[in-house]
Amino acid sequence: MKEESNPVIEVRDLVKRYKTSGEEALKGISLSVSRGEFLGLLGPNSAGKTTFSSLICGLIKPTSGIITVLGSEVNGDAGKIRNRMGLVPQEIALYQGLTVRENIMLFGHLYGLHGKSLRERADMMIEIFNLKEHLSKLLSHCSGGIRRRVNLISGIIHEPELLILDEPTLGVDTQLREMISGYLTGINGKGTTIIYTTHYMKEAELLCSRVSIIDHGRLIADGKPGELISRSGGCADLGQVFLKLTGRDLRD
Amino acid sequence: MVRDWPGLAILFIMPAILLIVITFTQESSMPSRRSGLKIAIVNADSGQFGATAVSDLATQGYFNFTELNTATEAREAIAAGKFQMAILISENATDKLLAAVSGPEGEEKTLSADLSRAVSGVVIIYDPALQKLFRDAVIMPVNALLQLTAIKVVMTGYTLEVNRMIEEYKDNLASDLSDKTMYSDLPRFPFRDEIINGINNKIKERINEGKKAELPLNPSFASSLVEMTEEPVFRSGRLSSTGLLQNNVPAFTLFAMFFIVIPLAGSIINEKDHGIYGRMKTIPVSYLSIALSKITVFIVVCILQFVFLMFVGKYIMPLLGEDSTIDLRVNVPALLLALICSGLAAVGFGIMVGSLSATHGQAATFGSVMVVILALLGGIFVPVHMLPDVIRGISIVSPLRWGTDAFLGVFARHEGISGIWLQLCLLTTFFLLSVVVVVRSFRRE
Repeated sequence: MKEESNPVIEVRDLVKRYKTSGEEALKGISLSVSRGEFLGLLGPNSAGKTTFSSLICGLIKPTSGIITVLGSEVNGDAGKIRNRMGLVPQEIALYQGLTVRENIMLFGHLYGLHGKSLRERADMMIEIFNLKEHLSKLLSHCSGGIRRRVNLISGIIHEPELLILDEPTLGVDTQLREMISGYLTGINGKGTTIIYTTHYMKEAELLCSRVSIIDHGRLIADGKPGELISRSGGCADLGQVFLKLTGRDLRD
Repeated sequence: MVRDWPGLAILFIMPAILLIVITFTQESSMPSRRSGLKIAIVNADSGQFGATAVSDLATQGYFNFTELNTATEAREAIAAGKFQMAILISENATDKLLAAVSGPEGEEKTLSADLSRAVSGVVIIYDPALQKLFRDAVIMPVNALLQLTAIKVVMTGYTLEVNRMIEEYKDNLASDLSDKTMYSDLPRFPFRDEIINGINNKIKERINEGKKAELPLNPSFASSLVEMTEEPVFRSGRLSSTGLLQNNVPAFTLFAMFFIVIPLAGSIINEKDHGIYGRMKTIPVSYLSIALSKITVFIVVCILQFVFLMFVGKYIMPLLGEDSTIDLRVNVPALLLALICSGLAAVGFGIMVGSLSATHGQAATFGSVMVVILALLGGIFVPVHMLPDVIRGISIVSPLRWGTDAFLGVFARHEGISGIWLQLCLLTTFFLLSVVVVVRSFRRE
């Protein structure tokens, strides 16, 4: 009950400086994400979005600051909360030498699903994402759209409480974009907290209950999309807000 | 390219290592004084043959020999790996050679000695892990040298005997001197007529001029004065085969097992390339567990490789005309442990190369060339004993050497676990260190 009321993600004064390049990717970000929120993480290239997501997932250690995810402090290792969170990376992080079904079953198994529950969950996902005809295909022989779907399923098959998606709709057609958006809205409605990184402002405006814009390693805007638009003074949509806040200069 | 250190290492350092190792290996491909092959000689003969043989072997210039006191000492030294071969000259070797010259004890002395009966025995004992090719490379020149030594001994004895008999029968000698009466029972004597004529001439010389007779010495005189017996030294039990296959099949099975580096490292590079490495860090399973499952699969592959190559050695090679056989009646627990520990080391090597390499090219090139270098150092192609001291010293760090020693211990020396425990420990330690490197690399990635 106590956990229900606590934020799913609590970040305080988060700094990340890369030792090799000396670059300070995050310069003291503080952010809190409540249970059931659909947070859009926006920012130009090299703004620090991926670094932020990586820190939340425990892939890298912060230089300073505190990250608490699902009640546990994360310091370069998500530890025991790994099975409560799911990551859908931007790249197709799957085994190309396995079939569609084998990939889904493998990741389900790695997330602790076994036997009947694994089969049922896999079948459900296969049904939702319309993959029945492609199950026995090697992933290396599949189209980009199929790979993208399997990549998504591999991060959500265990029904995580917290789902972090890094540009899951990159390079997909409108139909699949609609399918993914619909599914994510559905699970968010059932209580899944979602952190969604994207460059598609329209998508963020439609899907996200809240948007955080990061630029040059700092949090420069945070709020509901409608609020950000109305506060901007004349911007018609989130895209214009974004450009107004981050400027039109090209980034790395 | 200047920034591509692994690429530069592959282009410059690896070929340099290959050049050094292959040159030394080629130089050592046949036994010589420079090779580390250790041969003992035990002379139990108190006569001329033993003394001359030891002296001749010491000055022949091909191999280094060390004189030991007893056959037991030599056997123990071979079993302990201190020597690879020993030449045992029996205690009555000279007597056996000369028995044919002077005839059986108690019989009437004649000059009709049958030199073809002058045969003495020499036993060559050897480490069964020393391949037949290399044994023969030692045995053949040693055999030729001992035959010559035996001829010297026999001819010296024969000359003395002839002189003694001429002295004894000198009053009647002239009338008895004929090929027919003196040498009729020498049917298998090589160069019989030439030698007999030589003897006759010398005897005539002795009678006419009062000189000592000296017989002509012909190196082709006898080809079987010394019968050499080869005998492997096993610590316990024995195997029926000490042929080429008994050594080659396990050695090349090990070689094949280490080539697992190519698919294994490739799969790890794929994981890195496709971001699976990163994804694994968000999964509630430790990378160690994932690595162990990978290791288990590849160990099974190693076992299948072993079974397949044993099948080829046992059943396919004879069909292709190979004479030697492979005896599989080895110590089974020792075999299983040698197989599993070698498989672990091979898989450990594979995952380590995969973890430390950045690209498929690096992993494949470095992995395969490294396996060849480690195999050269490990005694897969040329036995380790044959390598020069420096290279043999370096070979101590090659996991393929530990694996070869373990496999040859089981397959060639008929060892049990107690005979190969050190190699098993080294292989397992190498595997554990590899896993540590891999897990650390995964965390750092």
